[in-house]
Amino acid sequence: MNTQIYEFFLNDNFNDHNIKYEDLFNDKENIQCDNLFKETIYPYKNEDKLTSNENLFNVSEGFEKGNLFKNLYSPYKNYLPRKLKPENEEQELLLKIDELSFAMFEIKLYLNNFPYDSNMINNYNMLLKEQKRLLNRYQSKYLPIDASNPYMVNIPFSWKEEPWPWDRRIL
Amino acid sequence: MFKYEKRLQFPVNIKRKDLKMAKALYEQYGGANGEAAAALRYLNQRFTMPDNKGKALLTEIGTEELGHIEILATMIYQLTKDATVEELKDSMLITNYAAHGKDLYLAGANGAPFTAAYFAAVGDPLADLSENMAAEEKARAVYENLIDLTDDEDVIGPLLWLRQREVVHFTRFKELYDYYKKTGIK
Repeated sequence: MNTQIYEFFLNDNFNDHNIKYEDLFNDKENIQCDNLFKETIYPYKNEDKLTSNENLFNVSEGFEKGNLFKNLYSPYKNYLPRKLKPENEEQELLLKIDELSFAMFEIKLYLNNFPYDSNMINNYNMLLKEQKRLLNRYQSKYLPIDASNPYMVNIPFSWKEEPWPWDRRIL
Repeated sequence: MFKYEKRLQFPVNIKRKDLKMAKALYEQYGGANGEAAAALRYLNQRFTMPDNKGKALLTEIGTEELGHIEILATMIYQLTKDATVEELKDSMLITNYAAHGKDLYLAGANGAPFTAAYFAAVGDPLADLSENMAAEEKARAVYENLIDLTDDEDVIGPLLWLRQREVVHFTRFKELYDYYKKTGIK
């Protein structure tokens, strides 16, 4: 594994007041994941179009709408997507994990059909890094979402603890 | 291999009991165009897709649909959780209660149990993908019917979101269909 990413995973320097990934897609600094990009197995071959980040909703808006791609979004009548309003730090963190996971899933679906779109591969890796970081943060403070996290050390074993997703009454 | 994450793909928090709506939502849980049919249709077709694009796409969308079964089940569960036997007796869920108590049961809104007859596998990727595109459009239409049937924002929210997923899945299936058609991969 790339040493830089490995250190990133281990380095839990999360700042609660600094969850600013809404602008990831439009942030030139963040998009320069050069090391990541060089290691991807798909060299750009000009076979597929390159998706500009201007054609994507930001991560929060895409999640709310259920669609990351502006050109595919199709509203029903005059209904507006549900506004998701976290009420505490735990809910905020979970919502961000949901949002990042959703954006990654959308990009993965897209890349199955257009595997040479290097910009989207870059986006995927950027989101993955941030999702890992927030998942680690969440699971170190609260209960496990995924049993392969490094914080499964509690006695009694915490996997079975409430809330189960169908009883989690938030947002 | 599938790995479980203890979170819904989209949050559900329904505060108002509504037994009629729960009955209607069963159509997308275990009905002909519901999420269970979608998940099993794609996860079953993927083995014989002609190339890796097809295997990947059907695996991913089939997996997402498993998450949608969970969202629908959560909605039905929350809509019916606090119902008394008296309330169930006077509702359209009386037959569900007679047969299954308060358990969920994989069936359509009219009570027909889920069956593999809801989907095909005919050994032809173009035919299979056309069926998938139709299935996504039918599911979208059913979500619109369901949205028309309620004014509860807690129910409409997840339904709008699930409807939008059908739109995206349709597009991805169509891209793959067009690609197979163009390249002649079979």
